[in-house]
Amino acid sequence: MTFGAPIALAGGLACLIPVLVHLRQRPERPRVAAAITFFVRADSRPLRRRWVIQHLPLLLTRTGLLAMITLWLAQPYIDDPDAGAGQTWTLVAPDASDDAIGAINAADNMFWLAPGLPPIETPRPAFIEGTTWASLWAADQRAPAGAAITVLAPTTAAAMTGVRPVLSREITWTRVAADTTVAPRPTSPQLELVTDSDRADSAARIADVVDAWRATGLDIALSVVPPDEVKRLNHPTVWLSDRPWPPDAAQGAVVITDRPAPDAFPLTIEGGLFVHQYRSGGVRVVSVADGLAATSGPMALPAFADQLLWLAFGEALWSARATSDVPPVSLQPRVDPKRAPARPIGDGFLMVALGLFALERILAYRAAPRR
Amino acid sequence: MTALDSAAALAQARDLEWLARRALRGDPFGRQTGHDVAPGSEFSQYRAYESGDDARWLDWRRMARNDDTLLRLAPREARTNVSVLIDTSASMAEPDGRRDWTRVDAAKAIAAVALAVARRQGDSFAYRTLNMAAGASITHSHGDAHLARCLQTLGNENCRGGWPDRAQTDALTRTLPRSGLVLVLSDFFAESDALGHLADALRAPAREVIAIQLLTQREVEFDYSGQIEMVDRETGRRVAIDAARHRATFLARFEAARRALRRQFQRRGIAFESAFIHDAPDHILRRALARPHRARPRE
Repeated sequence: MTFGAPIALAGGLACLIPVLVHLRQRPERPRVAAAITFFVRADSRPLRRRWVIQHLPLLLTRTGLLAMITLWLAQPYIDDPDAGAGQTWTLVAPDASDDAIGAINAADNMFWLAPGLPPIETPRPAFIEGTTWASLWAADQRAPAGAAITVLAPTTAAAMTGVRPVLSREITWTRVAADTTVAPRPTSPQLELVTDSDRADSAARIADVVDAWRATGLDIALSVVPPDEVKRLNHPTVWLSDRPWPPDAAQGAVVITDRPAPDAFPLTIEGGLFVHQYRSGGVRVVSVADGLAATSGPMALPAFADQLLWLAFGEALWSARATSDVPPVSLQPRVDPKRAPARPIGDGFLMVALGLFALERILAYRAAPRR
Repeated sequence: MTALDSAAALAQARDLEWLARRALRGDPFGRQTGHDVAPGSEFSQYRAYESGDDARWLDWRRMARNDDTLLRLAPREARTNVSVLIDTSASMAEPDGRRDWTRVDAAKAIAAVALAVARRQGDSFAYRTLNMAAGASITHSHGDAHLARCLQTLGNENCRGGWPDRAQTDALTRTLPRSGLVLVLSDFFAESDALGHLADALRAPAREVIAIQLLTQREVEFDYSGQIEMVDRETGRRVAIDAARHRATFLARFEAARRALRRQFQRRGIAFESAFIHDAPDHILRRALARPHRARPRE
């Protein structure tokens, strides 16, 4: 048996609390005012205070109660890494087309990649934006530790929002045809490159970055626009011009530039890339300190592209659609084997704790002094 | 009506004539006869008129008939003095344990009964507090008003302080009449020397002294258990004891102290009675006074 939160076991020290309380509340030597003290002499033998713990059943109940709560918080589970070995859990995205679903060889353990992981035999659930990660995480927890998980989805990163999940195993992604009536295909995210003619070196580097993105499956459009034609910042923009960008910008607009940032803003490191980030009007400005040209920084293209991807799109990236069966590196769930599903036994501790709590209340009521 | 008024009324209702009965046995207090002039008194005998006698008491009929100038004499009840010494030290605050009744409450009730009977007999009476702190000072007198005053001040006496020292004892006993009855109500939890000095100071040829020791059942039986810390009511001294282990030793010492106290008082001609505070006050008094009249100690 191991624990999902072994640090919570430190709370076991709390088990000492009832013991200390009971010792503190042990009966003091009664003090009796008397007139016959005149005839009483102190015992020649010193009195020993007896450390008698009062209400022993109540003490044991309270200690057990705290122990059960501590164990419950520590999330105990029984590891069984070989459980489900050879099994494959197949998760089908709700926006997969009927033809794609029909093409799948029938197998056990097929579920919709939707909240509750309904079996594939049930009617197709509604496509709900933003539930893919949660459903995937739930499947990872429910599937035996040794089982493989395959995701059949029209787009690898479909409807993925929020924090990148941490799963216990690698996920095999398989792209299938989409049913656009179920989930309308979103427009591809677009990057605008605004460059002067004398910044060809940097512009070429950005083009290489976009190519690198596309190589990982992201369908991101790149449009190159002269500075004087930009009236409004509608998309994440790489600004390679000495001219100022227009103040009119869409909400959440991002400008990536190699222009130096005002001195007031500190230098930060984003995945190895030195940048200044600040807001200018409604625009989030990312000033790359090392420049955007290939010769200006030591960063290799893949890492540079990956960081620039996050800086440019941030959360908007999650709506990007993959164009290949290979999920983009940035969208692949992280794997932590410690999160492997196991047979949790914490609920049993909680039930015992509830029972002990009821018993504790009864004993405490009986032990309370009557007025 | 206060508790003490009730006690005094109880004395009336129960017709406590024990003081008178003791007088019949020849005790030096109680109703004693003599002759004196008194308005409306029953005729006893004649006496020749002397200069200064009140002319109202002349037997005018006899003077008119025989020309004798005789005064009508009536029997007079010679009054004696009843003094109650009541211990009001802090140890007298010991409770009965079974009801809201302390040792000093019992002492006050006994004192009230004694004073009420003394009033009924026409004796002069007063009480004094036996304490290191000065108490109420009431001179001996008689009558209903004096009884009411005594009961009122007696009811207000509080337990505090400790046993009086020698000088205070001497000063206290000097205020007592040289003759009459002195009733001492206390637990007598004091040093033997101090008790002996009190007994010596109370001793007088024409004075009878009765000491009543008031105890609680718990004290006599040492009804304590477990490890306890006893705190002396007067000194605040703390003694930690194991009650079960200490019981036999205490009972032996306590009984020895009581025997020594009895001997100490009796050697000085002082009657000694021991009673529980939960006993009825009139019964305690009856028991104390019903003892055979003892011989006078040798001077």
